[in-house]
Amino acid sequence: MAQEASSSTSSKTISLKTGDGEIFEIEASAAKQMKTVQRLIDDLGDDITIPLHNVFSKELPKIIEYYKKDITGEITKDFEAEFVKDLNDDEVKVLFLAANYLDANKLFEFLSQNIADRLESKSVEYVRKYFGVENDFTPEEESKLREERAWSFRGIKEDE
Amino acid sequence: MAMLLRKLRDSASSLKQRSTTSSSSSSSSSSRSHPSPPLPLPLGSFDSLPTELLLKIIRLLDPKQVAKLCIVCKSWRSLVSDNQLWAYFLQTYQPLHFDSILFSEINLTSGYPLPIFVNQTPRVSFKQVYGQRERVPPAVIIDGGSGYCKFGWNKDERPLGRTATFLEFGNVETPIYTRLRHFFGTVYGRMKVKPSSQPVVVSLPLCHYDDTNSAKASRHQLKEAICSALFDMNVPSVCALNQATLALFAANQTSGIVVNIGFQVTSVVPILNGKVMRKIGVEVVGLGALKLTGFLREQMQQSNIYFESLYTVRTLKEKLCYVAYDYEAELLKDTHASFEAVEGKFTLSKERFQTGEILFQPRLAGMRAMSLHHAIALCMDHCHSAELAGGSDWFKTIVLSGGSACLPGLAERLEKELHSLRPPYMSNGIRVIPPPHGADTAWFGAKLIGSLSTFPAPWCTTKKQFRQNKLNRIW
Repeated sequence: MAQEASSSTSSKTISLKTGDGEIFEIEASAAKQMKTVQRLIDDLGDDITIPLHNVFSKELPKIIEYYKKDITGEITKDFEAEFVKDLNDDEVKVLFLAANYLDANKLFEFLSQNIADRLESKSVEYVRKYFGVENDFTPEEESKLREERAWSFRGIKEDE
Repeated sequence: MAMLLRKLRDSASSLKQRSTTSSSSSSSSSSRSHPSPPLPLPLGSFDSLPTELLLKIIRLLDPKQVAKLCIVCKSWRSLVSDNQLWAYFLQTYQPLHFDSILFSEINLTSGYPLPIFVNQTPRVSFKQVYGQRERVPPAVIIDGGSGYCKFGWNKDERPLGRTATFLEFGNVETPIYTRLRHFFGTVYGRMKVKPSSQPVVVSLPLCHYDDTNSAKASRHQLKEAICSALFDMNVPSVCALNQATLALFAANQTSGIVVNIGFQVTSVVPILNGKVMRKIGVEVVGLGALKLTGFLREQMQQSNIYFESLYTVRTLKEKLCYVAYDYEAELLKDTHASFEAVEGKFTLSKERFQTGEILFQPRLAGMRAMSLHHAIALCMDHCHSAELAGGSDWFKTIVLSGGSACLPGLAERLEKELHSLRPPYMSNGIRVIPPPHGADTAWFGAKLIGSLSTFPAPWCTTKKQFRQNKLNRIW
């Protein structure tokens, strides 16, 4: 797809500093896709290193990788599949929360679908572990809930 | 319902009163940029996310999976109980139209008498409705008439099959036990299912309309015969409702005048709160689908259009005919149109709208019957003079049903004629609704009943109850 019409920022790079102190460079056009970053640029100027307190050096490179592909219009189903292939559930979670913090809509939508795909057909115990919550139902309450929802267990083969 | 949604939204936003600068992994105390009330049990590692975003992910899941999420923990249960979420699932995953589900779940869940809502519509828990509707067992739905019968399943969008009752069984609107047994036996055979396996919703034909004791006895006799036949076939429970009432429900109404253009006659049936108002009177016009097809056949013969089978005439009626808004003006227009039938290509012109015109001018067919719009206006007069508790507007909703009522232009023409026949105080607010599900409208109404979250309980009579003579007499 065509590049954005040339403006003075199209070839500029922006410096981002993660919560754990590392610095990464991204193109200004990629930064535009992350609304939080763009807002900080508007406030602080594009010459300053933008501080991102809530994003860390583990996940930011992955996000930058995604938007690098996005600005060249090369995001395909294959790329997206490859992008999440080796990520475990925790890593996807962290990326998802970072995408939310950065207000990076496209990545956020993509990761929403991926998380939904990972949760589909999983057992209740798996979901508890995934979100890190404790079961606060009594055994009687839980069995009543399961009985009422017998229809939702029908015909689904649960993965553990 | 708006208030409930607002309450849910408010409680949800109190969950999200955290700045996004808090740590992204789960933790109990995290620095907040502004104080907020102590939170209920957390949703876990996604706690820092606003509820709307979490719900966005949840919407991408299958409703079955979402129902399971209620079991994860208490906070998750209250999160996924969001009413709008389940309204969304109902709209997306159920084949029925959402407005029909809403209508039936609000008005029909307790059976007769129908509830009357004065000012506000009650709140619906979509989550409960979704779950309960999933649990409704399969049921057979049969809408039989003297002309055609449609049969199928409550879970399907349309009938599984049809049969021409007049051809196969003769007139099933007579309480002849053996004929009814043969009829129902054939239907169950075509559906490839045992009568004893599931409840059945069956429509009762519109006949013996008068408010006399003998007519009442005849209606009762027919209903008894139908139910006897079914129970003798070991059907576990039966819901038998008047065909006009079913058509009304299919149009998402509980009150109004149903105009059913049947096989042999057309009935104009006033219904208030789901009950046929026989004391007001059912008007009957001796004109039906058979007469319309017959008239078209005569016109075609007069125009020297050769055909072999009456079936062709019927097909042309369905494909080419319509009702003119202004008959005289239409005669001056060029109205040629063609259709490729099994027998070959046929071209009709004024026959196309003259056929439907006999409903408005029966003398065109050499009949001395009352015209349809006069019959409806008469019924409206009777409804108006009855001054019932339903107010003065309930009879201004006119629902058309029957295959022939699907003629394009019929509803508009009827509205026009009714406005010219009656002064504004009567005609203001008249709405004529064309058959909402085509020729299957009454079948669809029966299906609505058979799909209710409370089905079969409030609507069906069991075999035991029937034998003990506890037949529901309202129909």
